[in-house]
Amino acid sequence: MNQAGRVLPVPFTEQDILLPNDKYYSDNFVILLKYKLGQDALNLYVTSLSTSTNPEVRAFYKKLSQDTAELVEKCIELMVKRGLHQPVIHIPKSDEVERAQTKKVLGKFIGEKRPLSAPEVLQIQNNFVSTEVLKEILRSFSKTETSEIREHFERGKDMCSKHLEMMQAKFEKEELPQMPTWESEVDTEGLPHFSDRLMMFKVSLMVGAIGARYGVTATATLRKDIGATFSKMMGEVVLYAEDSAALMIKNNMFDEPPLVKLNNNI
Amino acid sequence: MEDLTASEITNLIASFSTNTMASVVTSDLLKKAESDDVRSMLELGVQIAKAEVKVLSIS
Repeated sequence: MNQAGRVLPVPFTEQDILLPNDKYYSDNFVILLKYKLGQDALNLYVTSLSTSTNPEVRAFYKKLSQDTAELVEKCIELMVKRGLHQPVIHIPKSDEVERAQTKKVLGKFIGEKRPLSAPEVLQIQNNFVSTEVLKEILRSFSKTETSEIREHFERGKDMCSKHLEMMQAKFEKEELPQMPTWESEVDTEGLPHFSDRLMMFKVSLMVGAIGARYGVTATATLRKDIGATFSKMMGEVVLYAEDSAALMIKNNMFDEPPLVKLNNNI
Repeated sequence: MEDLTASEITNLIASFSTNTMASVVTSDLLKKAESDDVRSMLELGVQIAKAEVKVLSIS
């Protein structure tokens, strides 16, 4: 970046860790957190690889994608070893592929719906874990002493709780197993562990990733009620992300992205 | 080095901020991890983040 004459943003440093001697997340939660962050990073790196033309930049992202894939695999192995990937939902076997005969497969908003399909179970489960991890992060960040930022984190936590209930409700109707939550795995007492800037930055990244995930689910699922639920949740996440950016600007934490024109006066 | 395109700049700036954070936070989690298998996973995480920041900040 320096070689190309570009300015780098202000880095995070050890100064952003306020309590270097306290443990605040259990090992189990650390595995889930790294798994989710690794998953988001992997998506980002693969996109970066496929949207870059400069060979040096592509080589950089290719290497990163490979390394991050290894990290994600390590996390999955640890999750399986500790049973953190539960519940595993089984889909009954069938002997042949069936062609849909009616539009019933697309579901309806009111009344009896067809059972969830395998891709829908996958989407809901994956989203549930992401939103649950974000909720616990927001809970642990709500210790900040800046009241405006604390209120913002608390509002985000309430939004996540509501979304988790909406997702769980889809499973409950089918009598599928309850998805686990991890309240006891994070420390919410005492002083904040990180600087406000670091917490705001982390939350804005995770919120962005969750909004994108909801959007994918809304379009990747067939049953209309699921599409509608995820579109609604995505709208709420987008508004929350906008408020996060506004709060970062107000607190002088927001690095402006490079614009297509210099000297812009707007 | 050739001039960078909009998508390259966007991606590289995002990677830089994210990984300075990841390297600081993951190092801290590593220090506090209780079991060896979690420690080994976090070591890999720190290594990836540090290498990335290093490449991006070469002058």
